[in-house]
Amino acid sequence: MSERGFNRPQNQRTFRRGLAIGLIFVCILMMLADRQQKQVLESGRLTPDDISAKIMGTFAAPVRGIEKLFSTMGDRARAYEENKILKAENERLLAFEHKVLDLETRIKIFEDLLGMEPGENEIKRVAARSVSEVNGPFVHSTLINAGTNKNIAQGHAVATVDGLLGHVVRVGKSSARVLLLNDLNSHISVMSRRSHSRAIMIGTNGKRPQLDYIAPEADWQVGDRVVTSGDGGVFPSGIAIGVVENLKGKNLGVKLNTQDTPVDWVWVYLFSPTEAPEESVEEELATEEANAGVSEQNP
Amino acid sequence: MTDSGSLSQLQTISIALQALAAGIILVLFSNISFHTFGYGFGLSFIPIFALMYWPKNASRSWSLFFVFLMGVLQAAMSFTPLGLLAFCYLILFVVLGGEMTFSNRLAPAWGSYITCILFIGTLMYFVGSLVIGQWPNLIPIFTDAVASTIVFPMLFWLRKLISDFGPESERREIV
Repeated sequence: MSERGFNRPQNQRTFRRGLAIGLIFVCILMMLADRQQKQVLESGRLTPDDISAKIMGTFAAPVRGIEKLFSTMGDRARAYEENKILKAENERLLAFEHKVLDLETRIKIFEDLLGMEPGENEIKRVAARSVSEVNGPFVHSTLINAGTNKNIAQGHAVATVDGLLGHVVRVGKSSARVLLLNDLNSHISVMSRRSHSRAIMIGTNGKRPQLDYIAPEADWQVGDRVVTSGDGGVFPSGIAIGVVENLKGKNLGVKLNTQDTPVDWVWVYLFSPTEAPEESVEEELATEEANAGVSEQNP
Repeated sequence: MTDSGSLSQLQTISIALQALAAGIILVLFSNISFHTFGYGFGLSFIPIFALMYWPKNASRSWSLFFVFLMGVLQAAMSFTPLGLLAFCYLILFVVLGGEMTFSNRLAPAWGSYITCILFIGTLMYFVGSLVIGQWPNLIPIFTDAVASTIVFPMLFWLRKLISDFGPESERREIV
């Protein structure tokens, strides 16, 4: 009994070839769309992010536990020496504690003089867990298990106890995608804690982001502590990032505080960027003058 | 005749679905990152194992679609440019054609796996450079490839263990 229509092997082979070519063509279209950062694909990624945040949270938990066990093994071996060092450091920090308390009292007095509300500069932050970190050839990102359900929005800064980790680039209902500082698309406004010189820290997809757009008169030195500058009102200022070091050539790089440490719990700073004024002062004055002119003509 | 024909077609689709399920499990594992001795790495190449041992009697047309889905899922989960992994996996799947038989002995199978990783890694590197507009970082590709190669014996042993549990007729098909 001869096979007819689609069941003929020749027809099936032709169909398979067509399907393979069609699917490869779809892949090329997706890559092109991704390069253009089309919103269609962006929304399509949100659902897998939400689902994978839940699944990867379960998958990654034992791995993080084992990693911690290994990373603390060395600490336990050095416990006696470290205890001595910590005691000495504790004594040294006690003096600082008194200074800080004194400064807090002074700040409170100045705030009262200026009429500032107490805690006006405090930024709320929420804790979340990093469930899947990607340090691949194309992207450096991490997925956290909190999203709009915890008021997280695009652009919010994300930090660990060591310092700034990155910023939120996409938010789902219960997950958010964080772009790490060493990613190619990461551009952060930073400053030197010592000299207050400004620069833009640009990710290179490697281990060390680079300092760029440095003014000729800026004073940057190897070993300077790098913190967020808060310029542009996108990030809160003063979050620790890393230490300046020399890269190949004359470029300055930053050794990130969060580099090479397993990321588990993070804080998301619910910092809303400073919005531009809706109406400029000049426009406001012109409107007031025009209104005054109208009222004079019509008493 | 018709019944047995449609049943056999359903069976081939079901076998392809089983292969997809195995692929998805490997995709999930490929998304776990590890930090040991100050180095971070992942197992991003282990889904290739599913492609290498894709069942021969699975529906070819559905298999193509499932391989595409596997690639898209891995890209979506790992934030890699969408379509890139699906493209690489489809090319590998077409090249392997489901006709290649991989040895049941560890050493030759390991060699074939390394060849597949090299093929996918090279393809990813060059096609990826076109997508992101610059050369991708070679170090993560290398470290992930090495890590994925190291875990191969474990996957090989697991597969053998699972196939040994099956009935004699199926065992012959898988092996």
